[in-house]
Amino acid sequence: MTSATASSDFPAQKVDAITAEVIAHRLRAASEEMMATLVKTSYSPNIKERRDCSTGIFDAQGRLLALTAIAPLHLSSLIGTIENVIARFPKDEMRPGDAFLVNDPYHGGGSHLPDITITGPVYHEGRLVAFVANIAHHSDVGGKVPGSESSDCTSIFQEGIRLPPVRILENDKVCQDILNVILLNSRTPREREGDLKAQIATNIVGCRRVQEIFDRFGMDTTLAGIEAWLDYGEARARVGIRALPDGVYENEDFVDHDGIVPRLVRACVKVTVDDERMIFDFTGSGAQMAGSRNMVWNATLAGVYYAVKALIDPDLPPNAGYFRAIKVIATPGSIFNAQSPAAVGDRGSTGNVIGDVIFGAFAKAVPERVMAGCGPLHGLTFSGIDPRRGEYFVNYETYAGASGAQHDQDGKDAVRVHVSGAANLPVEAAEHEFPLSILRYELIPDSGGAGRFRGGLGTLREVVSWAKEGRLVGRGLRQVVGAPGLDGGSKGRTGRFLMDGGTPEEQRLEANFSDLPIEVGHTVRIETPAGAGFGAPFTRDPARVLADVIAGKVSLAAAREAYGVSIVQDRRSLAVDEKETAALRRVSHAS
Amino acid sequence: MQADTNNSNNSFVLGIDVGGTFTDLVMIRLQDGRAFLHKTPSTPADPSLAMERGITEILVSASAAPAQVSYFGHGTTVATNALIEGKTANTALITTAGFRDILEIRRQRQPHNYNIRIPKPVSPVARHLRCEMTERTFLMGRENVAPSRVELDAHIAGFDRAEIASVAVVFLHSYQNPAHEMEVVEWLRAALPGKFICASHEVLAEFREYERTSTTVLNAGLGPVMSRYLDQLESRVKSLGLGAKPNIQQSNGGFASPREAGHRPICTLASGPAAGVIGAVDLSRRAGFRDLITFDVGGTSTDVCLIEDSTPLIAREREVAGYPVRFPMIDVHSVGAGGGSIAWIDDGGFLQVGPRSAGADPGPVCYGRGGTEPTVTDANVLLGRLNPQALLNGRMPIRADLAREAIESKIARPLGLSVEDAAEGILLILNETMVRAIRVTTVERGYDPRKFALLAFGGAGPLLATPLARELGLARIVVPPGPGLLCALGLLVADARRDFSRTRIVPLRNGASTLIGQAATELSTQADQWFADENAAKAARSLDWAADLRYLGQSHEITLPIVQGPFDPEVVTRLAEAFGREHTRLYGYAADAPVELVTMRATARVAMSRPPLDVAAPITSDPSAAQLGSRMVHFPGAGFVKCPIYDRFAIPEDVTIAGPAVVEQMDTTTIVFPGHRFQRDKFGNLVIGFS
Repeated sequence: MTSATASSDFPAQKVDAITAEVIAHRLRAASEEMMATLVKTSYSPNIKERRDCSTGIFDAQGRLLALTAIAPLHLSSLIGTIENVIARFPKDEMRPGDAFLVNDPYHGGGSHLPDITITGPVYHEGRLVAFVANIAHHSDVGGKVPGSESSDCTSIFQEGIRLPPVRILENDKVCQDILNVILLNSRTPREREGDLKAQIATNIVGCRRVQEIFDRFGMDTTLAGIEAWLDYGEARARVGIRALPDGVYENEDFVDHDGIVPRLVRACVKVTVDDERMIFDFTGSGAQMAGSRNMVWNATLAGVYYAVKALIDPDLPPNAGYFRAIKVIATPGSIFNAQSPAAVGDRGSTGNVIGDVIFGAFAKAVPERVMAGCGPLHGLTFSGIDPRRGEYFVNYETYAGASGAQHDQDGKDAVRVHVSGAANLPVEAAEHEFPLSILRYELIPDSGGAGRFRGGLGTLREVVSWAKEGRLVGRGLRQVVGAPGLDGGSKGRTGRFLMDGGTPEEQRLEANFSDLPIEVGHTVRIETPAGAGFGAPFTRDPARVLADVIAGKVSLAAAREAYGVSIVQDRRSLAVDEKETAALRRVSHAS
Repeated sequence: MQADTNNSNNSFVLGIDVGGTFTDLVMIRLQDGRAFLHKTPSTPADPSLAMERGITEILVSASAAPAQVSYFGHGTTVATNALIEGKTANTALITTAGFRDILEIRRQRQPHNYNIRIPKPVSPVARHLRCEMTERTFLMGRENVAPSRVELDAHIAGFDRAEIASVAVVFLHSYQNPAHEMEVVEWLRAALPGKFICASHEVLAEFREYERTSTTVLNAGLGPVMSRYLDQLESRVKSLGLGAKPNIQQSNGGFASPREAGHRPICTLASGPAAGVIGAVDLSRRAGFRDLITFDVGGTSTDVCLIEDSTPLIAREREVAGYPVRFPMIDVHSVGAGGGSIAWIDDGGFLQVGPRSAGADPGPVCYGRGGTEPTVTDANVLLGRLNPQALLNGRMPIRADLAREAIESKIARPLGLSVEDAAEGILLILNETMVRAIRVTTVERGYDPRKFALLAFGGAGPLLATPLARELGLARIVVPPGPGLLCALGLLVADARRDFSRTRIVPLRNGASTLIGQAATELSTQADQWFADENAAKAARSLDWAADLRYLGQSHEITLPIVQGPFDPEVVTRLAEAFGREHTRLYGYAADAPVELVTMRATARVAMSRPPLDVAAPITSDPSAAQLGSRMVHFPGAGFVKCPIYDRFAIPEDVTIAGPAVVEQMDTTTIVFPGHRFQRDKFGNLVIGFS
């Protein structure tokens, strides 16, 4: 282990500080250029527009050197891949022009089956010196539901095709047999083929760039530069950790639905900050669940690495050195370290709970850096036959909840939170592409948890389906227990799915379901959970409550009941009735 | 509209670029192409004040009368500043019921994935001013619902109280069915005379409601601001007795008449950088360089733009103050690093350069005005690249000792380097950032940088150009005569331009040609109307066509130029084939999938004749007459070497001078490395070659 001070601690004989930094810069630039290639050349909107993918560069031992991840859940998604590939394809059997593909999360893939990783070796002077890798979320890899993500799967075998590390490229030629197997197992093979080709092209670009770095600086200098870069990541993380007060901080929250039935599954963490190290211990969290909300080990790491970056240094570059400063403990067989064949498709929902539970723990140490509980996304997938074209379609969409409030600002309305970060599809694009009409897409008033600072508002979307043989897959977390507030702030409103909402036939759907038929002309309403409040609601500045009422984000009734603020019509506009407000707030204080 | 600026030998053309700090003016005498340059401090509260002063002064130096100005091109930051400072007009939005929150839901992304402290940008229209109407265009399943006058009147009744100055109307699918917006706009214009009213199909007839709504409401917010400015400007121009009306530079590289700019102020965003690129295109075309990368380095940021075959790259979207603006604009890529960028050591022990800048005050340490953090400028002073005694023709004394002290204590010692290596390190790290920026605009878009020349300008561009050009393998560096010249020159050579577009999502198969033909007819009708409104001479008009295409199921389009109609089935087949080729060029493969047309585009131009240009050079072939002296300058690998210093404007034409050399002028310094050489061409450019 190297020194953890901030000063330059480079192996000075081999590489000077500036050269080491230039090498690091170029490794990161190479990874970014890979990302640009992947986004640019991919076929499906899920990668191109939503950027549900990441790219990375590893050294020959499989240590992460550079990672470009737009969605934080991808922070660790390539970790472990190289070791697993090497275990099946020893390094001395690899050749230039090889590439390997894997998607099984229990065999070095990402954190669920739709994430397909492709990796390949990089050579300099005939020696294997590095690996390039990229991972992309494919919108269908088979399994029991379109989109391959259903919370009610009870085993990974229901979730799609499982691939251990297999050779996909040999001597720069695609192994067509393997490709054919994958394509046959997807409901959308044309997209899969375009995206897989983009992933292969991405590694070719990365390989060339990494080779250029070795060519430019030579073997010894480049390798020394890599060591210095890893030390740098560790040193920078340790400086950030040292700024946190030492102590043990515990918190618990719940996954409120195991994918099959609503029930509370404990998610807890004990964080130990000890000078410049941190330990995240998830011992005591629930046993792996019957449904697909389990997180494999590296998904849990992603949750931790995300939270650490957000808490100590948002610009901290992810590399194996930074990871050295952090220790993670999770019991095998628990929700945070699921074992095969547990289903893991909807691990993203639990990933958002990890964010909340860690932030909640740090609220006790650094309240000025955290946010209250967040409203996670809801997923709804439409499928069926488009009557306009007579073709089968799948519309995989996720709808944003909202973030929790902070000590000095309201939560953000309508945003993806924590580890998830994908964008929405424009209404006008969705209506062109799919046999759907979207009737409303708006914020939900009064949904944000009350507090000195208010939680962000969740969103409502109402969709009519014109599909023949229409089917729905829905998944939602926090439909039972709202996002937890901090420092006296209220919970965020829970989410729900409604069929034919607002009509006599209105029917509340389960929080998680698959293969639900929807008749032509019927509507589904998605209401996403909101963020929680921070601080006691009765201490909120009445001017802020008034602004929320004018904006229609908080109702007059809620202003009075939740915030103790009386708002009245004052000639032509609304105003705070100061006297009555004082009285309301006094009464509450007395009671 | 005057299509000919060359109508009189006694006349002058005038270009004025108003920046945040300085107002740059250029006048060219049409008789002989003689250029006059002038610079005066800007007056942000009323920019026309500085313009008036500048015009008066430049007229004197050119010995010209106001009436002799036959053309006036103008670049302005009025729109950009209003958006960045949030000083737009109070705007209301009328939109489809159920969708008023489109502006706040945005694309549902956080401002930053890891920095939770960054709030979402404030919506340009407050929620209570986003008014809903029960109207709808459906693509299937239901009958359309027309807007109701009664419902609108209820909203209008509330506008008075809210002191609304402008109203934007955005309905879903209006690019396909503009009738509902048209009707509501008509009612609004009748009910609210004097208010600025605009509909989304007039501003951007393209799909994707969030981007269209954002562009339309920002345009509405700028409407009253721009009108006020143009009124002030025109009255000042009139009182000065200028012989021409101002034409306003747009971000698409063309200019707009004051009438046009008043309707569509959003198109004038970033008009200064666009003018710079157009000036660069013009200057380099005259000098014979058709493939260029512009490298405009200021104190805090660097602008880069790719020009291929004398045509700048066009971007479709940009974010301003956190909100997207979508329409074609010159693709200027900005990097947060420049001459004033501060060098520092981060928590992990690495040297960082920028994004913080010392700015003008206190400025770099070497200015001796209290700055303590070493900057790129300090590194250049320490290495002798910048004059270690004084800058700005001796007006600004330089404290090289302070620069050295700062780099020594803050960078060299902590990193265990010599002070020279630390200074070289600062430039090297900065160069890495610049290389990255240019790779993003070239390699990552399928362009090979090696065929491009680097056009280096701005205060620090010519100082930093060589390592960049070498690292990217560029062929040569071109340094234009003065940093301010390009922008002002661009204002004098731009054509009038307006871009029209219309989304029509149709698969390219049998029957598509009819729909494409219809869209094309609609666009050319719009263009003809514009030509007529602008009084454009018939011979000067041109109309270029393009189409946005994608494979079925993709959500990302490629814009391809297309030949003018008739749009018969053969055109459709050729278009699909051309798309496959372009997809292969950009992304490396063509898919076996149907091709879909998404948006038709037409660019209308009115060509302007370009003024002659002559930047006088001394008549001698002896470069030693231009040598001011020599000093020790540090180069990587060579250490300090004795290096001749030249006066930029005393260098004779077409004489090859060997590096190392430093070329000084009032507002910039050009460095020529050992082993390289340079010449001055007849347009006043310095051209640096490497081999």
